[in-house]
Amino acid sequence: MPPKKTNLYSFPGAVVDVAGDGKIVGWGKNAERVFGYSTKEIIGRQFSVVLSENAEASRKIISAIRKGKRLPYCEAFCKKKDGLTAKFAFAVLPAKGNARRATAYVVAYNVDGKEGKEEMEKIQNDFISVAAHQLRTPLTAIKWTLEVFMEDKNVTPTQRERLNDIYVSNERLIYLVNDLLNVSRFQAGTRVANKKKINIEEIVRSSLRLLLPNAKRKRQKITLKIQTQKSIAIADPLLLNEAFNNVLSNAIAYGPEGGEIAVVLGAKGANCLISVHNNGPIIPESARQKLFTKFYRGETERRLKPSGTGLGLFIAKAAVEANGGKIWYESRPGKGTTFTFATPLFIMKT
Amino acid sequence: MTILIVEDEEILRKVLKEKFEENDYSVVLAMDGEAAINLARKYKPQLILLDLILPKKDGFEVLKDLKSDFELKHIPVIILSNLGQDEGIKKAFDLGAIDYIIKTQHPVNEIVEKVKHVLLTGNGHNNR
Repeated sequence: MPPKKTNLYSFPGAVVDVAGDGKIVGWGKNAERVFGYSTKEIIGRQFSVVLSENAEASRKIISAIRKGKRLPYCEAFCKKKDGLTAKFAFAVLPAKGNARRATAYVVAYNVDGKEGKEEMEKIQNDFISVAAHQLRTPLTAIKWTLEVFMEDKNVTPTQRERLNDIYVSNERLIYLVNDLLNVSRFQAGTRVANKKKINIEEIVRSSLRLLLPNAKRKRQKITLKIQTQKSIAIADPLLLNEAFNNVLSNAIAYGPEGGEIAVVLGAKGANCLISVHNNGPIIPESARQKLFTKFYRGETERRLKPSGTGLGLFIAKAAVEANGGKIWYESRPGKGTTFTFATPLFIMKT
Repeated sequence: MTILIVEDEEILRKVLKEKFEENDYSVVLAMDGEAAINLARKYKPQLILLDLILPKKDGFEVLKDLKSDFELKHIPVIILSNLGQDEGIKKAFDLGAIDYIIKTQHPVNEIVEKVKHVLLTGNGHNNR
């Protein structure tokens, strides 16, 4: 994110004092850090040393310094001491009457430097793991203690039912934490696809077995049709599982009581296609734009699955895309809703 | 059969101890990484359940120490943590853990079952 034009000083950027002839007369601590040059070696040299030559933006900055003119915001590439180039946001502010004979202050902020990115990623990663541990520890304590409590023979059936209600609520919190962690991992880019040769049919079948009890509770029938012989994909099995689980549990949650859910495994071109169809209410026009965004909960969604987090499809999409695939849906009156995702098949190189 | 449980959270320690004792295991508890190594040397347990974020010495270091100790390296170690980052899981397996369990994802009885399974077969199942 580039800094706001009016707010450059609030960023931990570098401040450089430059004289009218372009010579550097002041070099702040942050300048040492972001450009790599020490104060000793840079004072007295031309400011253009750090700017990429022959770039329109560099000329604009140099010209503003020479003329002592204000330049509120300008992005330019800079050469750091280590030879690497990074994009910086600059502001040139005239400084008349400065004791060090500077005619301009140059404020620079590393916009997308590698260093900045790595630092951000590290902060995000640390946050993720700390959050996981901190939230999950008390949730585990509640979960395990309740289990022990429910096994106690002195607990009456009514009490056991209440304990079970607490247990179910706690499980919901655990799922929410899992979803939040998944989302942050996808966003931090730390959820990397460990792709290998996998049998899609096996993944689909094991996920079906896992979710069958949920479907049974709603007296739904799940059918599985295999329409291809090609079911070896090159993908991260955990990601694929996550994507399929989310799509299938949605079909169960949003499909009607006693309805039918059709899972079809097919192939088209270099991709394996997995689709899940339910004959529930169609996705309203108002929901379509935001369907794959995080925390989106439409009116229908809230009514049919009050416990949803609004993260399922966001995670499914991120998981499918991390595998190099695509996800889409069709939802038409009288036809129900079908979510399909494509994931690259394993192709033998000859 | 003796198992060493390394866990810094008191409530979790209490439940685990109770459950394993119910299943006729004798249980040794450690609250930090240093105590874990000392108790492992003293009791030579048949299995170690090891948390990762611990005072004094973290679980990865404990695992490294255990695996480089001639007398302790054969003891199967199951990681029992709430960290679930891919790299951490990989690191634990690379260092020689036999299984990796994310605490919240399993009922406590399942953990007892996993320990029984490992002690019976000598295999962890890579079941996250």
